[in-house]
Order: sequence, then C-alpha cells, then structure tokens
Amino acid sequence: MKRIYFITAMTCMTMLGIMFGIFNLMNANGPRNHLTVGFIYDNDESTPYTYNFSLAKDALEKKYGDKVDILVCSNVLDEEMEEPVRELAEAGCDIIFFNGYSELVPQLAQEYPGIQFCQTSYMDMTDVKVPANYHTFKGEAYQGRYVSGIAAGMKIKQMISDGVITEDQAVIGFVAAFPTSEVISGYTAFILGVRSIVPTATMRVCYTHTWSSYVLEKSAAQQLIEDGCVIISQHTDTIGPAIACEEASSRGTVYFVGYNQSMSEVAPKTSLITSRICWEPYVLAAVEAVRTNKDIESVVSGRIHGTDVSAGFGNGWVEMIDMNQQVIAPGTEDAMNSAIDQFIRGNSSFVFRGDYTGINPNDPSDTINLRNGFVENENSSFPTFNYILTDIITIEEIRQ
Amino acid sequence: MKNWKTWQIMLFIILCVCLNLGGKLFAVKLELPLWADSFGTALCAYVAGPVCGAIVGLTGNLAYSAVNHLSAAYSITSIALGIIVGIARQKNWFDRFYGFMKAASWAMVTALVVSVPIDLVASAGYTGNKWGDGIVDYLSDKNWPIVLCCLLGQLAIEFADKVLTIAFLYILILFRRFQLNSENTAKVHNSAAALIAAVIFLSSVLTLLTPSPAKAAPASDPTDYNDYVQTVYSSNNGLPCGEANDIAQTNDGVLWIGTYAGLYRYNGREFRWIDNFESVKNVNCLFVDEEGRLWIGTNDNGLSIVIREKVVNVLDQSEGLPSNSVRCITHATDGYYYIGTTDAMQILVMNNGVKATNTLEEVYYANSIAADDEDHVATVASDGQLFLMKGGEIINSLKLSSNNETFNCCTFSPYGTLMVGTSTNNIYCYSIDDDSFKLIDVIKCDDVNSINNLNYISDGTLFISTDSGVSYIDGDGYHRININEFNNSIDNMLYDYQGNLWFTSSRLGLLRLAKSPFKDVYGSIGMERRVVNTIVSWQNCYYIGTDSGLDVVDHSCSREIENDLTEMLSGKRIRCMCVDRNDHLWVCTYGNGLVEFSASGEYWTYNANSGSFGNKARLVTELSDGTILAAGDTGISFIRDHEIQKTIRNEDGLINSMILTVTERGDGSILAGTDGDGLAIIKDGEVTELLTTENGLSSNVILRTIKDPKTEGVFIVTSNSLCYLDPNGSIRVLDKFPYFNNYDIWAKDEDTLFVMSSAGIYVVERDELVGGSDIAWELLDARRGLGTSLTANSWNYYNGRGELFLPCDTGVYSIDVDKYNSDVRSYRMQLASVKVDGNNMPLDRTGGITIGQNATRIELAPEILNYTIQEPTVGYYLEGFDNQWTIVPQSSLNNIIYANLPAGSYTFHLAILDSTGEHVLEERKFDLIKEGKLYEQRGFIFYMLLILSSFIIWFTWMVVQRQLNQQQIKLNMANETVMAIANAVDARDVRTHQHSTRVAEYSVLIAEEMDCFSGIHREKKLSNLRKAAQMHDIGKIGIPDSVLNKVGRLDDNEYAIMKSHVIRGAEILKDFTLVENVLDGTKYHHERYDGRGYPDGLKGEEIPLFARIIGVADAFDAMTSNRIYRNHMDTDYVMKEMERGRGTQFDPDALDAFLRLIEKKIIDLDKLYAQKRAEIQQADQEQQEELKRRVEEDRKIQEAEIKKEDNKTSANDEGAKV
Repeated sequence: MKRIYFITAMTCMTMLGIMFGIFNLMNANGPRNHLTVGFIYDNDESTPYTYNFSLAKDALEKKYGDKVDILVCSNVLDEEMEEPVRELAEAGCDIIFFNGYSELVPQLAQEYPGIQFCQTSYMDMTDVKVPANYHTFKGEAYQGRYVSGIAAGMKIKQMISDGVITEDQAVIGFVAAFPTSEVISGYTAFILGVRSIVPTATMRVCYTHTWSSYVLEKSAAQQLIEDGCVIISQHTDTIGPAIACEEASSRGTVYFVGYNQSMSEVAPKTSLITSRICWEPYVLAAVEAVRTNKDIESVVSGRIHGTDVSAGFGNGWVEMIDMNQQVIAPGTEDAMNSAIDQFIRGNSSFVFRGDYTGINPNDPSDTINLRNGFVENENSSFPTFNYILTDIITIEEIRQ
Repeated sequence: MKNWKTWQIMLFIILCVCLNLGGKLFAVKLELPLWADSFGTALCAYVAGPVCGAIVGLTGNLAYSAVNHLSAAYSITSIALGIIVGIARQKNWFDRFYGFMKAASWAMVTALVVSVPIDLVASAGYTGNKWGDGIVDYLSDKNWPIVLCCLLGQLAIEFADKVLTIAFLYILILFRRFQLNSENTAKVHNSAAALIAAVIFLSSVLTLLTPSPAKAAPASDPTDYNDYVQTVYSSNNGLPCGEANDIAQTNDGVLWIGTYAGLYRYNGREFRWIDNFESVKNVNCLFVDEEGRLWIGTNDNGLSIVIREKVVNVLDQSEGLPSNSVRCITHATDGYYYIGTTDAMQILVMNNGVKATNTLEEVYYANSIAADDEDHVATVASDGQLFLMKGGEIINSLKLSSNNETFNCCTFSPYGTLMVGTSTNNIYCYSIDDDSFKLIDVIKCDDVNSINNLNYISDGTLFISTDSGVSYIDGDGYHRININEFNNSIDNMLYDYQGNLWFTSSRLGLLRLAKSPFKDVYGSIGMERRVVNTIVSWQNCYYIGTDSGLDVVDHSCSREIENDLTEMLSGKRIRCMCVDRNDHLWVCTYGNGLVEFSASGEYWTYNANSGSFGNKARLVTELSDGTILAAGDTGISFIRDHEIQKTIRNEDGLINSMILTVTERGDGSILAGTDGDGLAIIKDGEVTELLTTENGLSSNVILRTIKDPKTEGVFIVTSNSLCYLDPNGSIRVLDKFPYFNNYDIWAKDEDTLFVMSSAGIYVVERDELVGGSDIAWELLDARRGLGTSLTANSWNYYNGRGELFLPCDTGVYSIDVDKYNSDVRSYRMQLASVKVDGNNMPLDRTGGITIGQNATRIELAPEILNYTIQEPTVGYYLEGFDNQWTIVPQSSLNNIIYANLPAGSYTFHLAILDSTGEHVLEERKFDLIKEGKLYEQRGFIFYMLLILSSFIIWFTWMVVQRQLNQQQIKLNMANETVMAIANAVDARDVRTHQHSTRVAEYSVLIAEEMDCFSGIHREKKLSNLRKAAQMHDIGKIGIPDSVLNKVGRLDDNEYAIMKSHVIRGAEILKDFTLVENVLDGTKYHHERYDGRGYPDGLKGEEIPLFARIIGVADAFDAMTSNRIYRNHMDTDYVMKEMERGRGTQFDPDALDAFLRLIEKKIIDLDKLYAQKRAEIQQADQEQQEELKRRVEEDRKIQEAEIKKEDNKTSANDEGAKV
C-alpha cells in the first residue's frame, strides 16, 4: 500500500508541477488584459456603409469594454492611408481594421509585423502574395441581395395579382455606383432573386460613377421610377434613392429595397427590407484571436483562403433587417427563409444559375453561360461575378 | 490495484488528475452550474483508496490555483470527497443505491461546510459560479441573511456537482459489475436494473445541468403658396429668442434652427435648446451635406460638424480657420468644402478628419455661397463681389458697377445657371461657360427689396427671400407671397421633407408655410378683415355679406372689387343673401329689410313699410316654385314678382316669429326654425304644426335645418345638439355626435357631411351619424389651417367646383372639400430620448435600447417629426408587455412610462395609423432589452425549480432507501437464518446432503416454467418459494436420529414419527413471519393431488401451490439423489415413476412443467448423476460404503412404498369402477 501512496504522491507532484506550469504559461500567453484596436474608415458614420461597419466597433466596445482602446480615423482617402496607419501604429494598435481599400495597406503591414492589418477585400486575392499579418475579409453580400430579391419578387407578384402592374411592368431599378464585379455581382443576385419569384422581371441599372452623391443617386432613382421601375434598390452610399421612392410613393406604386442600412427611417412607406453585411463576426473573432495570441484565421469561421475570409448567412456575416410588415407581401418571410436555409446548409450554387448568358462589360468576348452555374466567393472573399446578363439587365446613364 | 505495475498506477493517477482539470475547464468554459472537477478524485478514491483520492483531489485544486487563487482554498473539499469515496468503498456502500446516495450526501455536506466560510470571507458570500451567485443575488435582494443566501447558493451548486460526480462513479461501478456478473442471471437482473436506474438518474440530472440560455403629389397645377397656412414661431410660441439666422433639416427629419442664442432642435412640437454642444453657443449658418452631416457655423466658436446629433469635429481659428465667425458653408461636387468666414474663405477637405487645404484671402466676409453639379462654387462677399471658385481656387470674380446696387446672394438653378440677387430687387442670371460669367437675363422682383436668399426647391420653383417679404418664380412667372407681418430681414429658407416652407428672419423669428385645405381669401388678397355672414356667387364675383357692408371679390379670389352695391350697402349689416332664377341678388340687411338687385342695377326694397315682416331681415331663399321666402325677427314673408304675397307673423300661429332658418321639403311644406319655440311646419302659408322638445327635439332653439341628402329626413341643428327628423315624422337626438355648439351642416354628397361648429368643421359619415352608433370624425380646425372662427348663423356657399366658402369672423376661408385631408408623403418617427429612472440614457445607434437590471422606471419620448397641419393618429405598443395598441392623436402623444418592467426582450412599436385607428400605415420598431439579473431570467428560474425539486426528491428517496436498506438487512438475516436451518436439517441426514437446497432450486425452476407467478411480485414469490422449499423438511429436526437415520425399513410407528415431520415443521415455523407462505411448503409438501397424502389429506387445488411444487421437486430429488450408480434404465424408471404420479401424487401442471424442464435439459439427469458420482468418489471409503448401504436401503424402502401405494391406487381404481 505504501508503494501505491508513494507512486500516487510522486505522480501528483509531477502533474502539479506540469499543470501549474501550463496554466501559468497559458495565462501569460493567453487572454491579454488590454488591447488597442484601430479603425480606419474611408468615410464616416454619416454614410450607411461606414455606419454599418462601425456597428462592429460598437459590438467590440460592448464585448470588451475597458479592455480595449478603440482609435478611429474617419474620411481617410485611399491615397492618404499612410499617415493614419502610422498614427495608429504609433498609438500602439495591436490590430487595425480598414473598411475601405488601399494598396498601401499590405505594404505598410510589412513594416509592422506585430500589428494585424484587416482590410475589407476589394480584389480577388487568389494567388496574391500578402504579408502574414495582412488579412482581407468580406461578407458574401450576394446572398443578402438574392434574398432581398425574393422579398422584392414577392411584392411584385402581389402587385401583379392585385392588378397594379402587369407582368411586363415588373421592372426593377438599381442605382449603382461603379460597374465593378462587386456591384455587378450584387445586382445580378438581386434580379435573380426577383426572377425566382417573378420570371418575367427585368432590371434597369443606372450608374452614378460615384459612391456618394445624394443628388445624383436621387436623380438616378427618379429617372428609373419615371422609366417605370416599381422597385428600386441601390449600391451607393446615400439615402437619395430611398427619398426618391418615398417622394414618388404618392404618385404611384414604388418600393425600395435597402442595403447595409435600414431606410425605414427615411422611407417608412416604401422601404421593404434591407440586407446587410455583418462585420461584427469577423471583427470580434479577429480581436479575440489577437487577444489570445492566435492566428485570426484559426479563430474566425467562414471560407478561408490563406488570410482571405468570407462567409454568408451560415456564419452570421449577412443578415436581413428591418422587414416592413406594413408593406411586404404575404408569404415573403417563408420564401426568404427557405433560401436562407439553403445558404445556411452551404448550398449557394442555385443563385447564379439559369438560362442566362453574361457578358463581361470590360471584355465583350468574355462571356459566361449560367446554365452551368457559377459559384460566387468560391475562392475569394471579393465577388468575382463580373458579367452583365444582357437579356434581363439594361444599363443606362443618368439623363442630365 | 496492489497488483498493478508502477507505470499503470502512474497512468491511472495522471488520468484522474486530467479528468479533474478537464472537467473544471469544461464547466468554466460553458458556465455550467457545477464544478465538474472531482470525477478523477472520486474514481481514484474508489480504485486506490481515500489517501490516493485525497492526493488527486488536492493536486487538481492546487494546479487550477494558477488560474484562480481561491481554488487552493477549496481543495479541502476535494480532499474530503476523496476520503469519503474511499471510505465508502471500504464499507461497501456502493453495493447498494442507498450507499451511493449516502456517499453523495456526505460529499455535499462536507463541501458546504468548507466552501460557505470561504465564500463569506473571500468573496462576500458569492460562490464563484454564476448560477449559485444568481441565487445569492435573488435571496439577498429579498433581504435574506447573507449566510443563508450563501449557503443556499452554494448548496444548489454542490448538490448538482456532488450528486453527478458520485453518480458518475456509481455508474462506472455498476457497469463493471455488469461485466463481472454477467453469468449470474439474478445478479444480472439486479445490476442491469440498477444500471438503468442510475443512467436514467444521471441523464435526468444532466438535463438539469443543461440550463436554458439565460437569456405629396406635386399638383399638375402650379402651387399657390398664398394658400399655405402661415405660422410664425417667435418668442411667444416656442422659439424663445424670437429670431432665427438659418434653418436646416437632417436626414432623420429633425429641423435645426440657428440663432444668436444658440442652436434649437425642432421636432414639430417643441423647440429644444441644444446646450450640450460645447462648441455651439450661437449660430450664424447651417448646412447639411449630402451624407447628412450637420455643419454648424457659429459666430465665435468656429465650425462644428454633427453626425447623428453628436459633434464629431470642431474647427476654429486655432486649427487654421481664418475666423471663428462662420457665415456660409457649402460642399462642392469635387469634394471640397467651402467655409465663408468674416475673414477669408477657407477650403476644407475630409481626410482623416477635416483638414484645411487652402485659404482664399480675396473672399472676405462671404455672406452667401452655392455650388453647382460641375465643381463650381459661387460666393458673394460683403462688399458685393461675386466670386466663382473651382478646385479650391478662385477662377473668376465680378462686381456690379452701380453704386446703388450690389450683389447680395447667389444660387445655382437646377440647369446650372448662376442666379445672383442684389441689394435692390434684381436677380442677375449668368451662365458659366469656360469658367466665366455670361449674363443671360436680369429678373426684376416687384414689391421686394434687398434680396437676401435665393433658393430652388425640388420642383424648380425659385424662392426669393428679401428684407421686405417673400416671392417666388415658378412656371407661371413671378408671384409675391403675402406673408403679412412677417416681412423683415428674411435671410434663409428651407423646404422640409413634408413640403412645408420655412423662412428665417433675424428679427422676427421663424415662419412656416404649410399646405392646407383652407384658403384665407381675405388674407391672400389683403382685404380688411370683417365678420362675414353670407357669401353668394353673382355676376362672376363672390358677394360677401359682412357685419359692416358688402365685399366683392373676383372668382379667382385674387382681387377685391368695389362697385355700386358695395358702396350702397357700406356699413350695413348683411345677414343673408341669395340669387334667384332671374339672376337677381337678394340681400337681407339688419335694419333696412330685404333688398332685391337686378344685374342691370335696378333694386327693390322690402321692409315693414312695404308689408313684409319687418326691417330686420335674417334670411332669404327661393322656393321651388320661384317664390322668394324671406324671414326676419318678426315673421316670414312670401314674395313673388316684387310683391309680398303673404306674411306670417306671431299672430298667425308662430309663437315666436324670430325665424333663424327655413327649409322647403319635397311635399312643399316649409320647416321654419324659431329662436326658442321649436320647429314650425308651414303648409300653404299656414303654420300647421309646431315641433318642440316634447316631440323629441333637444332644444327649442333651431339654428338650422338641412335636408338629408339620402332620404326625406331632415337634420336639425339646435342650440345644444344635432337632431334628426325621420321621414316618418319622429325626431331623435343624434347624441353620438361629439360636439354641441354647432352652426350648420353641409352635405358634400350622400355619404359625407361637414358639420360647422364653434370648434371647427367636423367631417362625419352620414350613415354613421344617422345610424346612432359610435361615429368616427375628423375635425378641421386651426391645426388644420382654419385660422379663424366660423360665424354663427351664417350662410356658406359651395361653388360646385370643390370649393366651399365659409363665412368667418375674420373674412372668408375656402376649403377644398375633395382634398381636405391632404396627402402627406410620410411621417418620420423616432425615439427622441429614453430616460431610465429619470436619467437620460444614450440610445443604441441602431435604435435599440438596453436597460440595466436595476432600472424601475423607463420613460420613452417618441417623436413624430411632423411639420404639417395634419394631425395623424399615432399608435404605440410595447410588444412583450402591452396587449394592444395605445392610439392617440399626435397632439396627445406624450412620453410613455413603463414601470417595473420584468427582465426580457421587448419591441417598442411606434406607428401612424389611419383616421379610424384600425390600420397601421407606417411603423417603426425599437428593440428594448431589460437586462435581468440571472435570477430574473426564465431559464434560471426553471433550472432552480428543477434543482429544488430534485433536491427534495433526493432526500425523500434517501429516507426511503434508508428504510429499504434496513428491511434488506432484516431480509438478509432471514435468508441467512433460513439457510442455517436448512443446512442443519440437511446435516442430520447424511443421505440428504444439500437436499433442501436442490429442492429449492428445482422448485423455483418449476415455478418459473409454470409461469404461475406474474406481475411485480413475481420475484418476491419466487424468493419465498425458494425459502419455503429450503425449509420444507425443517420438521425433521424433531425426528429422533434413530428414526431419521435408521438403517432399514421403518416400522409403522417409526413411519408415523417420520411422517410427523411435516406437522413438527409447521409448529416450528408458525411464528416465522419473515417469509410468506413458508408454512405451506413445510406442512403440505407430502399432500397428494388425489387427496391421499398427509398430514391433512388435502386434495387438488386445496393443496397450497408452494406445497404442490415442492412436492414434485422433493419427490424427484428423493428419487435421484441416491441413485448414483444407476444407468439409463434407472433414469427411465425415475421418469416413469414421476409421470405415473401425474394427477395422483403430483399436480399435473407442476409435473408437466417439471417434465418440460427435463425435456429442455434444464434439469439434466445425467449431469445430476455425474455430479453425485463425483461427490461420492470424493468421499472416503468408509463413508462410501455407509452411503451405499443407506442408499440401497432407502431404495428398497421406497420401492416397497411405491408398490404399496400402487396397490392401493389400483384397488381404489377398481373400487371406483365397481
């Protein structure tokens, strides 16, 4: 018996030493008590895009409270990125988030290997070599666009059945900033969502060639409404299109589908629903990773390609908000949920699929046949669907 | 464990320590309501004893103290647990369920004794587990003593933890036993049952440990802004400072008014002084950029930028602004912001904050600034110089050459034309070509002076604000707005999101022009205001009878006309007018009687002198036959062809000849309302009937009678309510009508009635009003643009084109009866503030409200940002708390207070509803979360109830188990006693070695095969049978050895003695109560089924079942136990003998069961013999011989007995046959 006691005591003392050491080590390397987090915005919180992004900052404040110091630089121009980055680095930031895009960021990241640089993606990162501390991320916005397209489609279907419009008048208007793959992917997913409900629906896209111009965006929306569009959506930064819809509502039937920020505040009569990219999951996970001395990509969940991460409904990176119960068509929620369920189950190949041919606006010889389908964000967090479905989408410029 | 090798022991100990720490980390990570850090301790203590268990327990706690220092203190608990489990093992507690409960309870009590003092000293009574702390919070909030709170909090955790830990161990033990005892059926049953029970118990406890998560349509016609209702806000009605420099509207719909006294926020209801913007003490100018930022130019604090009502940037002289006094701000399409100061013009750019890029010294004291869509910015400096800028640089400038006229202000038209207003009344229009000015037009603005502001609204109308009023230019040209007294220093204007116009005056305050269904005819023309009594249309003009003469305006209501009539009737009080089919105008004067005018200028006068009712004419109307009926204070006259046909006076039946109203009915009768004597019915010039209060009228003062547009009924407006004269002649009071002081009713159509009253105009549905049920109504009053009072006893006029002209105290108002409920685009809504227990709390930026757990009073301030004259119906309800909407008119929407809201998630709905309050038109939702202490959450309460009930069940069960345990001890004693007795009996007879045990086994097998016991008592009865069988020969104790062990045949006497063992046995066991029916087996096992057995000769079913079964088993064992050297022939003999006894000696059922057992070889004769043979071979020679001898002896005796019995049986059978 003495042998057993002896062995037990010795083993326990050894285990105690080891475990004590491990716990102490974990504590030393583990949760840091204080972090400094930087945010560099390409605009400020007056714009829906930056406002939406800043909700992640709010979530960070809420979760960590005094444990994080948050430094914010607003309205930072792409080409003027260096100064604020250096400011934040010198201020002791452990991690810096960028909601805009600048080529300078990966370069500066090399100079500050101890700081994690997390930038919303603005290009296909496939085969792009970046420093280990440089990360790109983006929510798979096309999923939200597709689902909001379903909501718009349900409304159009109701309007057709109520005799408000005919099937031929099922025209969607889209106020778009620039003809980039991100914008094209978004509005294509949107019209495909609409057409999943109303197969005769078509879309008119009006480019403003600027991210933020209330006057231009409102004019573009008014033009689209005048041209017969019954639903307006946008991929620009101001409330102009929503205001245009609200003002036009007394003259006819037109509804608005938002992106990134609820427009029910300014368009309570016409706003249907909004989809938004939730930046919170990534920002929170990345900060937690830094806090616990882990790789960001080992903590964050989503489609991970090196240091490039994207995710959709399944990981809470995209959500539908502010459904206007007074306006939406009956059954909209069920129709949306069934699509969302598919996204959550990991099936997204149904979106960019159908009897369509897309043409690359920059290279007409580059076409895509959607009968074979196209999977967005398959290898990159930046949307790569850069084809215009000319059969159903008409591009127009703002009439001066 | 003693046999374990050293490495095995080490591995086991490591496993146990890891189990402890792993469990601990798991529980901490998932915030489980238990510690989960003793599984290893319990396992080790069971396997290796209390000392090892204690060491492992201590190790886990000490190691975790690296993370939490208090862990070391709690190690005493772990040590105790190890010791308890170790001791429990040594005392074989785990052999019984009660033992498991006892061990868990002891561990729990020990943990409590150790932990509670530590909690109290080190953690202010908190347990360190959020679930336990929840209980501590809950109880301490109820003012329970902290010691008790701590004790109960700790108990909840320890109970779950210790029970689970020991249960984990117990299940392992049972599982191990299950493996070891798999061969023993009975034990298997017991162990399996216990294992299942334990698993069920554990899973139910685990369930407990999975707590729920605590958790306007632009009219095609040009708008006449003179029709807009004007409201001036100044020091006497909300804007305390009485002056306004600038006005702006942010995207949320809030209006911001800049004054020298600071910044005001206006939501349509209240001007709130903003005193929390440190950098904003006074305001010169305001600007809202495209993104919605509010730029505030102050007089001496520079520039402040506000986003969502928070100052995000301040820029002043110290940061590069040329002056702290900012005069104008704009944003160029190229991204530059231009800030005009009292010094130079500053160019700013948004880049990591606001950065100054260029200063334009030449632009000194810019007063007005504007930007076009092509990066141009134009500004006018105080010296009258116009600058054109682009890219932050001046590209051109211009100054008027005249000394008398300077540029004052500028703006760009929607087409890019630069419009520049001057210090006189000109607007210079320049096109900007190649960055140079090209004058294309000069617009002269009549009747204004010194143009201060030019402003295009969205429909392209240009508003001109001047020092002497406001005018505008639309598609129809230049118009002046009559803004009455608000005509000084109008500097800025705003077109709000609902289409209202706002003008600021640095001297007079703020003017709102709001679209209204009403039009102030006198106001828009600028006529002298008078009390109007009657209006008619005649000669393409409106003739307006007033208290002091006749006013005439043209049909467009834009011009006052004076003619012979106005002159002739000047100063006369005109009460009523009408135009007859001959286009003659009839005018009732109060003093001069009735006057008839022809269009050609002829006139006829009817008064007392000409035989009419008198000089005080009150009303005149034309009857269907063209007769003119006029009435006054002294009667009614009928006039035709300028002749008074008849006059009805007081003496003609009218009790009161003061007639206020007359109505001709379809049957030609006339209703005449009197001033105090009810309603007179006149037929053929005679008063035929008087309807008074006795007939159902509410009053005898009849102000007006109006024909029902749908039936032959008549609405009667009395001095105190509305009544209705049904076509059948009955009268009833329409008491559901909301107002009493009514004047008149105008039927818009068959469905809609306008009831004129001293409160305004009530719009009601005819059917609802006549129906007598509750009615919905809409009041058109001052808030809706009726800026005056209607005149009592007056006569309105409908022009047939949608305009109803209303005689008022201050002139004539007209109302658009089709658009009286004018369309408003939308209403923006928000929560202005949330006060928690009287303190303002910041709103979540997404609109969500999170309220602390201690909050008791929540005050929400909903805002409907409505600047129109409409008063929408507003509804609100707190989903999750309220059961229904609270619906109020906007003017009654006050702060909403919720007190003592339970913790949980709510949604506050704020909505605009239709006028009936039934349908939501617009809605905004705000999430509201009242944080709860853990104990306020449903999941927590549910969990704690479960824990409490489990705790009660546990201890009740434990008490029961304790009693069961005592009984078991007794039962065991009984078993042991029985076994001892049986062994004693068997020991007396060398031939019957273990006979009782075998008989017991056979009996149980037979009973099982018979399946004679069922239900929950089956096992117990089988057990009793076994015991009874074991003791069936107990009576042999009393048989003398000489008989019992006699070698040779027993004589009759001896045989009788031998047979007496059954009675003796019964006597021995008569007081033995431990086993039921034990007596049956002992006393009756020699009874025969045919009744020929002993002692009582019972027959068939009379023989107790136990005895019948034991009888078969006993006989079989008696025959087989001594036939050790027999062969198969002998086997056949035994079986034959047994079968022969079917129905005679043996119960057929019992025997059949027995035979089946033989057939199934459950009772294997060959095996039995082989076993017996082996036993005998093992015995020594002498014993063998003795045994052989006795066996042979017995055989003979038995054979003889059997033969004898057979003979008896056959004799009886034969007898029976005979």
